[in-house]
Amino acid sequence: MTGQYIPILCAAVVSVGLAAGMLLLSRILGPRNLTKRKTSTYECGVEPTGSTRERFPIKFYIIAMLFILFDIEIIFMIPWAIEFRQLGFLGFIEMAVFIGVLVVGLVYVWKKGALEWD
Amino acid sequence: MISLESYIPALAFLAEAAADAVKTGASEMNFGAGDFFFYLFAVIAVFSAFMVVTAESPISSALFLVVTFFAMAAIYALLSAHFLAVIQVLVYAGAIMVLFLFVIMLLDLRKEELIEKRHWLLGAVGFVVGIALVVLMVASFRLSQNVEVAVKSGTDQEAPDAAKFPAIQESADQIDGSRIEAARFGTTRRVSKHLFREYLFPFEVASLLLLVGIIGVVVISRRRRRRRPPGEVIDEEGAS
Amino acid sequence: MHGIFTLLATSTHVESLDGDWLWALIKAIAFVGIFLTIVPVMTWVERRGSAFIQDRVGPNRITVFGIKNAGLLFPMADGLKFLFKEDFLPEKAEKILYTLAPMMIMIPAFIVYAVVPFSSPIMHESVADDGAITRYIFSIQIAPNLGVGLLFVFAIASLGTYGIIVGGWSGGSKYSFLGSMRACAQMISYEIPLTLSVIGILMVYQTLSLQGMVAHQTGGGLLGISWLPHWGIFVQPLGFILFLVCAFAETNRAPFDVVESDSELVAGFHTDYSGFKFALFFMAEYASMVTMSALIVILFFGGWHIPIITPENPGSYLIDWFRGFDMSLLWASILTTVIHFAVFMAKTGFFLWLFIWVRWTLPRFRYDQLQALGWKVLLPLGLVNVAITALLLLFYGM
Repeated sequence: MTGQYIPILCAAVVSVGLAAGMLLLSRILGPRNLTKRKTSTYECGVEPTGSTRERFPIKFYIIAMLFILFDIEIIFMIPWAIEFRQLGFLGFIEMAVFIGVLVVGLVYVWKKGALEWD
Repeated sequence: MISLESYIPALAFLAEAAADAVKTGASEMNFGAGDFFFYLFAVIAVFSAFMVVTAESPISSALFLVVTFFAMAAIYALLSAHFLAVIQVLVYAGAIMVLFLFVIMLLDLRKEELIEKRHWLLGAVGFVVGIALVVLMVASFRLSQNVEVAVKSGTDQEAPDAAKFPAIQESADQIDGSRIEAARFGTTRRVSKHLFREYLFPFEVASLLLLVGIIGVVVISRRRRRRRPPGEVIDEEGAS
Repeated sequence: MHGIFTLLATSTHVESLDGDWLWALIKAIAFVGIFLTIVPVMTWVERRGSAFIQDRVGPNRITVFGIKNAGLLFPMADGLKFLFKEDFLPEKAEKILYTLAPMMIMIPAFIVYAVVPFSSPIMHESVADDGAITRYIFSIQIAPNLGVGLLFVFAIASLGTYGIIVGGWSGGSKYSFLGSMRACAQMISYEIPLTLSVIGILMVYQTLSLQGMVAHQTGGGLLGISWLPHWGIFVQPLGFILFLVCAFAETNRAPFDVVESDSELVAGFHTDYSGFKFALFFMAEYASMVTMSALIVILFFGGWHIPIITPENPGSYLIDWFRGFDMSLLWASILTTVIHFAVFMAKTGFFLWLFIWVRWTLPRFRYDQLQALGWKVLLPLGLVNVAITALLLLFYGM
């Protein structure tokens, strides 16, 4: 049963080799003369100030969390979709109930303004 | 299900297996390509899981966890659970770990803040739980081995340890009966048949769980805005 | 069913060369080679195309031995420059992660190609002494037997996010960090409508295998017109539009390029990358464009299928036509495969051009508009599309 994955492994080996090989090649061919000014963080030519890894808005967290929840919902739909004709009307009702509950969630999120990016 | 009783034979099995390993060398093992890939990914999974715990920076920890998930997906694939394998990557590696990274960056954890003294009791509890996990693992390993023996020896012959574990005989029968469908095992279609026919109720309940999750996100993370009464003049100067 | 599939279905004994790791390795190297020629061509098309759209001349100064070549050699010069430039580490960078990030984005972008069917399979037959025919099949696809095809693409493509997060975070630059946060939130937001937009088409095709999807679309006689094929675009027009929009957003291309909006964030998450590490990011962007274009072609435009050649037009099959010239099955199928490959590349090329066309035509979205479009427009529309498809299938097309 592992036969179908062996080509994937080959593709992975080739792409890892390509990426690593090209980086290595440029490392060998490229010059190296570092200066203080060159390696300083780019901030439009001005002296860099403050720390970079600052805290950032919680909106990103909300998006990531909602993404996981809706992603799982849609992943449930994939096996349902390819088996839809066999599942028939009952399958349709099943998924309608499932999605119906989650649409309630979407409406809630929408009304509460969590999708607003202000 | 693994009950408490199975711990005792499992412990005996541990000693037995250790003795066996000493007696017969590793050279006598039957080693195929499937085994090679299993051990490869198992070693990757265990190593990166170890690195998750020991890595200094939380970001590296999270990335090692991605590697662990990936190696586990590969092991699922080796077990012919194709749909599960790809979902493992899609959901755990592709979605949940992104959230982890976001949270790590959101909290802006620094190395020095992470080092704090832990109570000795925590260590003790951890040790006990760790031992329990090892025993559980061996127990389930022993169970699965017996199933294999039962399948190989056929249904008419009694499996060596089947009397001790009634559940084994049952699962062995199931496996034997569905051997014809073994080629379709773990495919998306098969998962779909089980999910939408036999496990309909858990599936629908999952939607409620997701709904609770959605509401939870909004409740926890929503900015608490002071609701202004209509017509209130906003004091722009004093706003901080 | 297309002639090629009928031929296979009627064979008594089929042997596949696709499980062989050596062939898989050769194919993987060949496809990487194809891709590495697409990238320079694409950069050239991007520059000349933008010049054409903006009524400029575009890069044309490079001449070799006095021959003007419309700037065709600029991409070669670029490639060499990337190799010979200094590849330095910014002082605030986390060394290992900073080096790994471009690889983390490039490797998934390439592995995805393993399941893309570039053309119809090559076939060969041998007749044994007792008259039994054995047919050999060689797919123009690295991993044709992978049952989870499309899901594999989505799963691996979703890993590209790590390259962006880690790349933006590890460099220690503020522009990179902001760019990577934006990119990441954008990619995950649009992953949902992207997956949702294919649910409808999965209901129609009933398979996740990409080769199976192409096979499904080779049937003709849609709406009673014999030459009109069963292409996804005709069956799922709304699904196609949703997928197209999400494809632009997932590749971070204009009008969704807030990630590297030059006027705000310099160059986004790869601001402080130099040398070949930058080149890897650059190539990964084109790689995902090619993937998305190929997916659009496979899902909605019949893959390598040529429209008029349908079972309703018997005798139009290329393979039968070639065999009419007293050709062996091997040569006939090689010729057919080459033609199908060209057709596939032409279709993919059109969508690659569309990416460029749109980039130089539409203005950039604001970030709040972008998020609103994903969650408030595309997600509900995707659900509506699934509902419509389900109802139509239930009442008309079971």
